[in-house]
Amino acid sequence: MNNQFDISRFWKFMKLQLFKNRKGVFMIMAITFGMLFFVGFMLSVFLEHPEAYDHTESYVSALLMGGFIISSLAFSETDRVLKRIGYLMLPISNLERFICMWLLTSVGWLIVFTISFTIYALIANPIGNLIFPATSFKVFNPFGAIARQTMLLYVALQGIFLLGAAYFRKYVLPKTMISIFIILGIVGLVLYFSLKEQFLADHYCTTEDECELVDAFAVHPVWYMAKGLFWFALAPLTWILSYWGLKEQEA
Amino acid sequence: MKLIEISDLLYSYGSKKPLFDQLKLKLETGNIYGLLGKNGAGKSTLLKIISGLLFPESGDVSVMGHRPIDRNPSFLQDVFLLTEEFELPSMSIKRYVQFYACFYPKFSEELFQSFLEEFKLDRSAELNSLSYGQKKKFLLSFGLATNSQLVILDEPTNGLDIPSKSQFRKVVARAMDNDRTFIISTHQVRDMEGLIDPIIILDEGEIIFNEGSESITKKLKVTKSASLVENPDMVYAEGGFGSYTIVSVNDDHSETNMNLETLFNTAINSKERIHEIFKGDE
Repeated sequence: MNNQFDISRFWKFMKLQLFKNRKGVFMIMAITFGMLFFVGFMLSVFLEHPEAYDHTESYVSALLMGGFIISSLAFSETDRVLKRIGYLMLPISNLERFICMWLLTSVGWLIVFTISFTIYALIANPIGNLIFPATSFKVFNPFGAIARQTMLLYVALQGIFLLGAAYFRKYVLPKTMISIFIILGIVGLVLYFSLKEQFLADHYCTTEDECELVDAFAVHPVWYMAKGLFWFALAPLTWILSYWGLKEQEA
Repeated sequence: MKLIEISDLLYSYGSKKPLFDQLKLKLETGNIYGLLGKNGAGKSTLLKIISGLLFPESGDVSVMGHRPIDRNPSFLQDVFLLTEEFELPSMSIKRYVQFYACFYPKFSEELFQSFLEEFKLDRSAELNSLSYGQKKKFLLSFGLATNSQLVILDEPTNGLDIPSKSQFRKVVARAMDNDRTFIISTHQVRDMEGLIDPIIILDEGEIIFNEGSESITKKLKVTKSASLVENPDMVYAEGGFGSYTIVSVNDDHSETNMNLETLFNTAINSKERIHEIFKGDE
């Protein structure tokens, strides 16, 4: 028997997780699409009367927010001791546990949400046309540049919330957000103090986002390295740490 | 065959004084072990370490040749742990079996059905609508039907009514075979009378007693007396309603029946003496 990964066992576990979480996922989807339709769509068109309405912005925010919430709930069975005992005693490897939840919350969420959003946009547009004839409603393109970029951004960032789910117990989302703000605050402070002299020195800057120093920094090797780390190293690192966190769970 | 071998186990909660320090324990296949101990003696902790739910700081723990901390599926499918408190997912018994039984290759549907019938549980019942005792009976039925080699029951009769306690004993006795081992941790020693053998007594993080009934009756005897007369053979005595129960060394090989409560009190209150009497068996 393969103690690390067995496709049949993995599939059984995935079916179990899908069954157990079906109500929660349905609720999140219902709330997300309800909010999107009534607030992000109807209310915004009603208040702003745009000439053209594009769904892409709504797609970006809902994909990221919904995905982060779902990812934060990935290991909710480890929140309480009694639940954790049942979860950890199930004959399944830690790797299978991790891959299952990673697949469901990253690739699974991307596919399910994107398909649902595309259908939602197809339904919402004719309704919008009926109620607001002065506004034209753009067809949502899930393969457009912004949508694709958002999907990549989601994959890069989602691991952070999975990591939070593996280490924090209860209130995972707020705890993860606070941790992100603290880390960003520390990074910001370090950057501020290390670049303070240069930014305070005389340099060319306009109010139209043109800045000599920012331009110089954008071609600096450190910036390339930071970008590379963000897009290629952050996600795998958070996945490995999440797996580790899951492996170290006790009850 | 050794099923569980624990040596030099060190475990503590946080920075507190170690609960277990240099703990040693060997358990063999084919027994229903009774794990007895006072509150806080470390029974549940020990069971969790054996199940791989808690990680020891040092020492070796081997269960069926596995390291429990690895929590490998091949290990987990041969261990069933029923804790005193538990939480069940919100689904029906039927659904639970459909989704969970597939993880246990030796699961017997027939056996499960017979246990359900014994406990008068309806397969279509929603788990969350069951009482605590019924949930326990369901979990016990499921656990026994997995045919796992090691079944660990922590306070299994807590919350069971009187008829259910005898059903419990019947069901466990039926599920027992030579390839299986049960570890039953309990305070309710009277519920386990005649079922558990050998008896392990844990006190202050130490195994102070680990003996089978044959060895116990061979070495200890119990007598009742209206008065208490000190003699060198006496190991322990406790007063009752107008009489004393006296536990002494069984020098004359007389046959007596010692109940678990008296045995437990003897082991706890006369540790040194008990150790002396049984040390040859270690």
